[in-house]
Amino acid sequence: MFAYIVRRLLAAIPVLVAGSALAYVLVAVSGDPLEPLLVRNPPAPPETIELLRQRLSLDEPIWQRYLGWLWGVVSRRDFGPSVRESYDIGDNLLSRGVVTLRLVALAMVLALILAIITGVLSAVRQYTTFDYTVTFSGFLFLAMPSFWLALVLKDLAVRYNHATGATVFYTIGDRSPDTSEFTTWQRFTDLAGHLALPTIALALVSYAAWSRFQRSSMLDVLNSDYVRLARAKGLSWGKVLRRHALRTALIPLTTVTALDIAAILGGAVVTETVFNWNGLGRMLIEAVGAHDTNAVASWLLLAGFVVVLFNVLADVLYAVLDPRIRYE
Amino acid sequence: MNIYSKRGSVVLAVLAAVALAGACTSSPEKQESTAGYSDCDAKPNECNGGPTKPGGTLTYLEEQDISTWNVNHEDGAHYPTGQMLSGVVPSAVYAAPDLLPYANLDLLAEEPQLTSASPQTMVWKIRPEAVWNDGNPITADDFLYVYKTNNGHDCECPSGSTSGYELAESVVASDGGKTITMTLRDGEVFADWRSLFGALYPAHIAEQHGGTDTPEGLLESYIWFADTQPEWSGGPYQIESYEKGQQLILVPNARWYGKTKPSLEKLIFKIVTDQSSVVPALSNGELDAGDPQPNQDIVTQVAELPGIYSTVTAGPTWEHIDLNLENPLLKDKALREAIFRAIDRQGIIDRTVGAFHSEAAPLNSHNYLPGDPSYVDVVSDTGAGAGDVDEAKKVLTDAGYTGVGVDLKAPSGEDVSLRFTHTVDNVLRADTAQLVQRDLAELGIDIQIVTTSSLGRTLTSGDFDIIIFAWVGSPFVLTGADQLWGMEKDGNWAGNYGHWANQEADDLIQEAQAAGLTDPAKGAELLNQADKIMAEDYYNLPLFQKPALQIARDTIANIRPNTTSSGPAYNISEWGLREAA
Repeated sequence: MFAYIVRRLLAAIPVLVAGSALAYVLVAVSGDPLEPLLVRNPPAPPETIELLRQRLSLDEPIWQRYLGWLWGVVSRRDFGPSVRESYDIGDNLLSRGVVTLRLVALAMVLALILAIITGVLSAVRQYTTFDYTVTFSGFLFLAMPSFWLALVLKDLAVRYNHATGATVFYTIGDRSPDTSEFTTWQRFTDLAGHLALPTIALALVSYAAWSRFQRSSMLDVLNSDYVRLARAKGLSWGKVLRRHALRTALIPLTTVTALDIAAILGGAVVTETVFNWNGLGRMLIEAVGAHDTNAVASWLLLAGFVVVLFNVLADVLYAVLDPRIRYE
Repeated sequence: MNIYSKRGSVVLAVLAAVALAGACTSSPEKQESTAGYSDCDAKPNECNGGPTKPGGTLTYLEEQDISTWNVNHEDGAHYPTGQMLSGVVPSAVYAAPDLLPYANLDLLAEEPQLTSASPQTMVWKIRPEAVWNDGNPITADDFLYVYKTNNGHDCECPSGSTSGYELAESVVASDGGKTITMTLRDGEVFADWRSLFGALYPAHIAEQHGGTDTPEGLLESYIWFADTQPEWSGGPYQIESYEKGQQLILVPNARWYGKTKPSLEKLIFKIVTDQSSVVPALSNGELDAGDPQPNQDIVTQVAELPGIYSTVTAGPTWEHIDLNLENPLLKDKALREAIFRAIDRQGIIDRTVGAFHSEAAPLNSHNYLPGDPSYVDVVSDTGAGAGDVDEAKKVLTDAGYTGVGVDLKAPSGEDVSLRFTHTVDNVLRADTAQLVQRDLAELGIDIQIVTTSSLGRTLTSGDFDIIIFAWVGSPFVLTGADQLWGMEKDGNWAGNYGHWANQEADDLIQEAQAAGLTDPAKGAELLNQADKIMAEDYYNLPLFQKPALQIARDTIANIRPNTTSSGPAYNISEWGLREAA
């Protein structure tokens, strides 16, 4: 298994290099980082423009810049100069990655719990009102653009706050600006109040898809021979569900969850933007807006690495959970 | 008058020439005002004013994060950065809501003086009370440091603007370091000299982080100031904390030497990059004030929020259509005239910004904005922007064009087919492009709308026929006018991207700069004469000022629209909780 994991990770290197090269070239040719200086009124001094051009090595061909950037990343963990001189790309990837990780991890946990519960219950109570309700809501959340869902949640939260006369939910940021005089409990509620809406918004979209997977997977298992055999042998329905059906029915969801990490990261970009979180999502948008080639390529390299990592994880989990599948 | 200014490089970069130097000789007069923005037209410097009570926290919206801590740096010509650091970085000058420049008399002992026109010599005197928050006095050394790091030759510092500083022969300290005398080289004129020293940095701290005497030391300290969150302050506030992408928290500077002490306990600049977040956050009490980019949704929704004052005004950014005179077809004045006459500016306004700013109107000057006493309408008489298709057709027919109104051909027989370029994903400009395309189709002109993702590259390369973009207006325009409309100098067209050249107008611009030094009214008159020549040559069609939105909770006093580059934070020390609230 270890050798397999190493092989998979090594095989991912060309994918990451090719992906980052493509991203680098696309960003580099799509805009001019000198533009803000050129269209300023009056234009910035030519010396200043030349200094920036030199700092970003804009006189070099794109492939040369890309190789220089890649070598810096590999050899020195240096993600290259940003268009913004005071901006450290590596520091931002790290600090903002932590913010995004908090949001994504919680959203995934919430989505998984909801998906498993509703998926299983829908399968068990197939064609009941509950099943129809969950199915309807699942498709509704699937169809909703995540930014619109976020706005609806914000509106509901503000109405709730007004109705109760207390600020329970917050709509911007990952915590209040000034918590220096808060008690521990106040800090906790403040964090929870800021975390609630973006987590729900991000979780609902994944939940919608995953609950459908869980429902169909559970239905497959419930209709399988071994479940019928277990029931025929006199096992209780609850024991059959918990010990035999659910465990098997979780296998597809596990792999789907791992493979969906790219989609969740994409959702986080939107969610962070709408809720004003300073995570990786906003970092990407800022970098694209500033035509910051090194920052965009670094971001995509990290995202690509995470996706590859989770793909490997999915393969491994699949093998671990399903004894019929073993990699040589 | 306590008004404190700020925001050096923004002022320096954007403010380019003096319009009304006379206005820089006194502080704005205080008048009685009411809460809210209803009387801002009549009393721009006083509206929504009132006494404040001590204490409280105010959370002000900013749409972007701080780009650098050194506002003189190339990254510092950035409106939100200037706003947020305006309470920390001292400045010798600011622009008030009445669009006039003022000396910061909290910092300066008196108005800066022009003591000689040739060689041009200027004197700034610093108040003895002016100190940094560590107790060190603000002195001529701080002015010298700004001069050295922004003159383009004492160090390779990536300055946002070297305007004015690069012309200096000498900058000398006297009077125990409280007087600065700057003398320009013989023959050099810088009419915008009052815009100098728009952001001061502490030289004594620069000494500790690189130095102030060598090119290497200057560069090192310059970059250190850009990278390092200031613990120092020379303004009414100092930084308590900063969290990247989230907020900047300011607290009063205990050593603030100005006349009005900040009444707020804390001032938070909250960075909110998503426009759709603004209204819920205001409604939820997470924001108290701000000046976000307006659109129809936000303007309508904010107006419906209880307890929130809001107003839409004409902002400093003005859209315009430029023609590329390197295009052989556009070298013909008759075609240019017909194009400009056919474009219906009011129609464009009605279908774009007019939807949420009913007072939006065509702009009729290339240098001054309405409200500025030097504003003169030089466009209307030319018929440009009137949408008069019949007159435009007549111009073309008289000039020998054929296929007028159907398939226009130049007298040479060449098809009149032109590109209209706008920035990609800019909805306002995309809409304008389509409306212009419709207007010009009535003349038989084939317009292909193309987009650019790199406006700067498109402009500098000249790869356009007709293009729409924007400039930012200011009370200092004389030097800027030379850069935007002046003829090629040393192979450099500066911001005159369409390469319009007129010797008479260029001479007038140069004369305006010289005259404006001692007689600002004369300078403005000469510049308007040059502008009239340009308008009559149909090179650049000003469209309209983009609207600006100001929002403040009704419990907050003294936050008012300031559509100059100084922004609403020009009077940051006056902001506070309304006494009656």
